[in-house]
Amino acid sequence: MELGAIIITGNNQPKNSGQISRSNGTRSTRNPSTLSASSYPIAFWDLLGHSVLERTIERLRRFGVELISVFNNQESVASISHGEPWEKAVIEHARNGVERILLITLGAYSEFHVDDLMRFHIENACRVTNVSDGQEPLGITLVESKCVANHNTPLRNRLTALVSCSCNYEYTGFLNRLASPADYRQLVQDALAGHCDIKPIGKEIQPGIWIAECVRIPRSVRVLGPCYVGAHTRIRPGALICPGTALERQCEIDCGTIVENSTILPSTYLGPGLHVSHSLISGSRLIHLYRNLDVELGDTGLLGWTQNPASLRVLAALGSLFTFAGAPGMRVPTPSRVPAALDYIRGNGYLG
Amino acid sequence: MQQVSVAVKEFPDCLNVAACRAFLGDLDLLLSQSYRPQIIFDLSDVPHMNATGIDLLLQCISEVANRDGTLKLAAPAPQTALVLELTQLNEIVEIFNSVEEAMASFGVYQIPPQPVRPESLPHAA
Repeated sequence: MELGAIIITGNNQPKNSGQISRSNGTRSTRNPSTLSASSYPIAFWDLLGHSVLERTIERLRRFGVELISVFNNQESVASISHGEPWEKAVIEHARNGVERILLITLGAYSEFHVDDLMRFHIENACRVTNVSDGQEPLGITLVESKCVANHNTPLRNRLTALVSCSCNYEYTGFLNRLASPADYRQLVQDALAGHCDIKPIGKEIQPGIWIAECVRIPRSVRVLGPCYVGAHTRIRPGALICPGTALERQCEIDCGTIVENSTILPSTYLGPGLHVSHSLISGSRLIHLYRNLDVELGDTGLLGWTQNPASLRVLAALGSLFTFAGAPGMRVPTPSRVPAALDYIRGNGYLG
Repeated sequence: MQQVSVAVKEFPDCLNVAACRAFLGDLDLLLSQSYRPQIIFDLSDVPHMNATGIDLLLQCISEVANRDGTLKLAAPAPQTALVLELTQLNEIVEIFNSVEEAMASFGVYQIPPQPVRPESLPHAA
């Protein structure tokens, strides 16, 4: 096997973190890169149907990378490199006959060509090739597996030694650093406008309007493109979906609500008669990108989580039962609010 | 010159239900005593607008409108302003950054307090 990949998520801390917000009358510091209570990184957020992590895995698969491991870690790259699971994965890749290992610290979204990177790496006879945009590294490194495995010295020491002899591959294509919610929104808009390779998961029913499966939209709803409506999303009568909007899966938009240039993350409920603009909403948490505000509006009753249908709740309960009993191949929605991306990587055995 | 009277009322922190009730009672009294009342709600003490606050505000807007009055909101905190925008209340009532701006919109200007000269002070015994 020529190439394997190790993806490390959870390292894209926003540059403008620490936005002061007020909640229940008290001031609190909140990191805008994490929307849910579970603090998932931006790479896990749904982006027109699939997360950046899923799209990265799909992209690697298209380039013929077969062995892919994913690690979720909120710590810095330096501390991850000392971590045992990461080291084990590298050694395991090398033992499985992988000649080169692509290490991706999933922060920025880029559309680099693995083939071009490989060609550069081989032509320059590099042992380590770092990808950068000419200014900063993108967290993508191609390493010769023989350089990091089959040695008696610890892996961390070998990696440190290899940094000095690394080559730099300059990437000039589409790039979004995903350092903040504003970057995420920009990526959504770029994808809707067709400025990058990200394709919405769904059917383009009219130019610029993508609708996923099992969506309920009454006739009185106006949907103006470019926009995206995710799977199992329900829009109530009289609502208006304006250009630049992305409603991810299992959302519910109540009667007469206007959504303009915003992203509504999965399983979010928007109450009736609201006007949401230039925002990013997950549950009762709202980030207003123009006002630079990050607020929790749970006690207003305006926003919240959607209620799962009874059938899904039963399936979820059954799923947890079967998981506990160890039934193989049983894939049902998890009862917790774990992002679909995690389900996906678990289900496909990518988790290291 | 026509004299304009504007009532400025501090909107209560809506976590306190008793304060909300008292506020509504005060407003009823004020409305019953005036013809086409002009009122400003000072929101500077409301850091967070919850469901009770939105209900109270809607009730006040309705009461003032029934009396052919005018209600304006002043000095909302950023989060409160966001909730007002989200609920489209900013389309129904005018919102100003400060009480002074709201008063100016009614044609009322506050006279800044004059500095007290030392000779005008009563001599200490």
